[in-house]
Amino acid sequence: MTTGRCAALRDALTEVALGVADGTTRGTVLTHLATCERCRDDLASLAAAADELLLLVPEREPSAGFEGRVLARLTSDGSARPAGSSALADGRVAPVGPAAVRRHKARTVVLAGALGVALLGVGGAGVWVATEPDRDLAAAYRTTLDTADGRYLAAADLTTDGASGDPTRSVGTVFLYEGNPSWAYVVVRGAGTAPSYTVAVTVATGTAADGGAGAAPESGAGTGSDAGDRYPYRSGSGGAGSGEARPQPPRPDPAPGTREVLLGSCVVDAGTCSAGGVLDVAVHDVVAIRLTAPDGETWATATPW
Amino acid sequence: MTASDEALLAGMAADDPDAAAVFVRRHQARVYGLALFVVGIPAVAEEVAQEAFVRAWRHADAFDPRRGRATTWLLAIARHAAIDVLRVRRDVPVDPVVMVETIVDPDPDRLAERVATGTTVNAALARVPREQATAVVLAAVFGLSGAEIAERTGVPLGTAKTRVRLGLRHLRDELASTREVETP
Repeated sequence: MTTGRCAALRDALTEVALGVADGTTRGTVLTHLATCERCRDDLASLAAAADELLLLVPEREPSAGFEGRVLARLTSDGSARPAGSSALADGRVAPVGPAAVRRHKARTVVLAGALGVALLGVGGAGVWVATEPDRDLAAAYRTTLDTADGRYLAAADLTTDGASGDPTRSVGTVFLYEGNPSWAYVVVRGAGTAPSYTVAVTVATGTAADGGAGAAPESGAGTGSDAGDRYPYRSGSGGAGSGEARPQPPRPDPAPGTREVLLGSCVVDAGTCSAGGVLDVAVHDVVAIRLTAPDGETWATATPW
Repeated sequence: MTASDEALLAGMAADDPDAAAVFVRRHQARVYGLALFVVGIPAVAEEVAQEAFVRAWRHADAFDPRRGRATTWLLAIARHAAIDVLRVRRDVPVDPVVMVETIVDPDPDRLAERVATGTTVNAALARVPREQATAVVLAAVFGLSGAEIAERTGVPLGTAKTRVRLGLRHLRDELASTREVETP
């Protein structure tokens, strides 16, 4: 039955239906809905009408390969699941989707404490975690960014290279912040056998096409002519992945159109380590973050975009 | 290959990559279209669209077909992802009012095309007074609050809120009567 309360909440109910209500308004409306069936029905039908409006936006085809990129994100999230995740170490078999959700929630608590914002990288791309309410999260995020003139914060999964025959696994997270200053921070949860790792950031210089055959490396060109052959990332077979203990320079030549910035050293203590530093380049130009063992072997990489 | 969206979502919830592939292929143009419409930058829109599918995959087991179609469920997720970005980036070139005008007052060719493909919401929106329709779409697509709509359309806050409220009710009623005509 319609009451004065219903009338007083007309605008608020509309805002909730359209998903634009602030937390206080939402709380007020939800409290009322608990005792008013008519307003519950009203909200359901209004929200359905609001959702229909999204169908009016014209369709547009994304660029080629979109489907593959989405599936890669889903797959990499799933493949990262068994690694270093003690929550799943009990042998329990769970569907990837729901399991991943639980894992994200567990991690989010830790990250939110550390960074004041719930952001998480999955499979090499920055991801905003869908905790509700989204608008509160967005507001908190904006405040966080405003503190240091930030544009955005991204995170990416750090995975082992798999070059020595071991399966690729998730060992940590890389955080990137675009602001004043911009910075990168690496947290390793499942460190390997090395006592420390050198952390290097590969940055696109924008002076050469990606992988272009004629592109000249900006620096370090004098150390060899086979830079492409030694491209250090995810070399699953042949080349740098062969068993031969081929001597490597501490910092292999970067791929054409990129250069390397040394971020610091990640000294392992009790299976974990962390390292970070200020970046003098735009975060969007970061191609990869690479951890190298003292023997020069690339141990783990993260590709944020 | 005519699996229903609901079946595909069930497959995604059970971690079936084939189901996910079909689902993404079927909906990518809608999701990317919405993302691009809101954020205006192709690279950002791609990221938003990817994020929408990742969220959909994560929450596939929570989809309830009794509460609506998979398409609108997915688009609502995409809208959230796009608005999240909108609220943290300052370089988004989109003017929501201009964009919404293209929906509220589309060119006749597109309107004919939509009617032909059976979209009733456009016809319903066409019967809502234009100021109300604009206000509702600004909230529904861009997530603008009453205060933001008031500022962007140059009307008092009370007027903006009233337009949104009346517009959404009007739209709902038009949608209901259209459906009654279609399914006697």
